[in-house]
Amino acid sequence: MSNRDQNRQFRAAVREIERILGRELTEEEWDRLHREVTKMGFDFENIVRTGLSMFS
Amino acid sequence: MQINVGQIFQPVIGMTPARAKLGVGSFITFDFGPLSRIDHHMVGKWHLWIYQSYWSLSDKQREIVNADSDRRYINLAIARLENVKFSGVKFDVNSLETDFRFGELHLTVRRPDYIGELDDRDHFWMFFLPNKQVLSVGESGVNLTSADRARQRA
Repeated sequence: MSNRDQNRQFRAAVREIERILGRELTEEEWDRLHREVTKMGFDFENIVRTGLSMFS
Repeated sequence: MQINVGQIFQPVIGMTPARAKLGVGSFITFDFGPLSRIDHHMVGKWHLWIYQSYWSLSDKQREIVNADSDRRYINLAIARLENVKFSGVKFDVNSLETDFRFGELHLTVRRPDYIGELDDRDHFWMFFLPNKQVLSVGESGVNLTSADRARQRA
C-alpha cells in the first residue's frame, strides 16, 4: 500500500469511528489514535477497532 | 483575529527535536522539549504532526525525499532532523504552504493532491501546544483551537 493510500485509509478510519460513535473526534484524539496505530501495520478494520476501544 | 504562525513556534526555535518519526503513511511527527507519558507513549511538551499533505524535504534547496518516497529513505532522512536545531517557520497565508526550517534542511508542506474533496477537517499539519491548544493549517485555513474539544458544526 502506498503512502498516499495509508494516509487516505487513516482518514477514512477516523471518519468511520466518528460515524459509529455519533460524534466528531477531537484533534487530540486523532493524535492519540495515530500514536496507537503507528508501526502496527493495521488495516482499516483494525484502526477502526482500535479507535472504538479507545474512545467508546 | 489574524494568527501569527511564526510567533506560536517561537518557543521551540533553537531546540533540537527530541524525536522526529515517520508515522502512518507519509505522516511525520516531531516532539520538542521534555517528554512525558500519554497513554503508553512518550510525547513532547510541544508536538508537531505533519498530517494530510504533500511534503518535500530538501537540503540546501535540493530535494532528498518527499511524501511519496520509499519509507526506508524517509526514515533515514527524517533521522537527520533529530540532530539539527529547528530554526523557524515560513508560512504563506495565500497558498497555505508552510516551510519548516531546520538549518539548511527545509520541510515544505502543502495541500495534498490525493484526496478528492478536502473539507474543513482536513488539516495539513497540527502543532499541539503545552496549554492544550492546537494550531492547525488546512483546508479551512489557519486555526487555533482547543485540542481536546470537538469543534461545533456550522
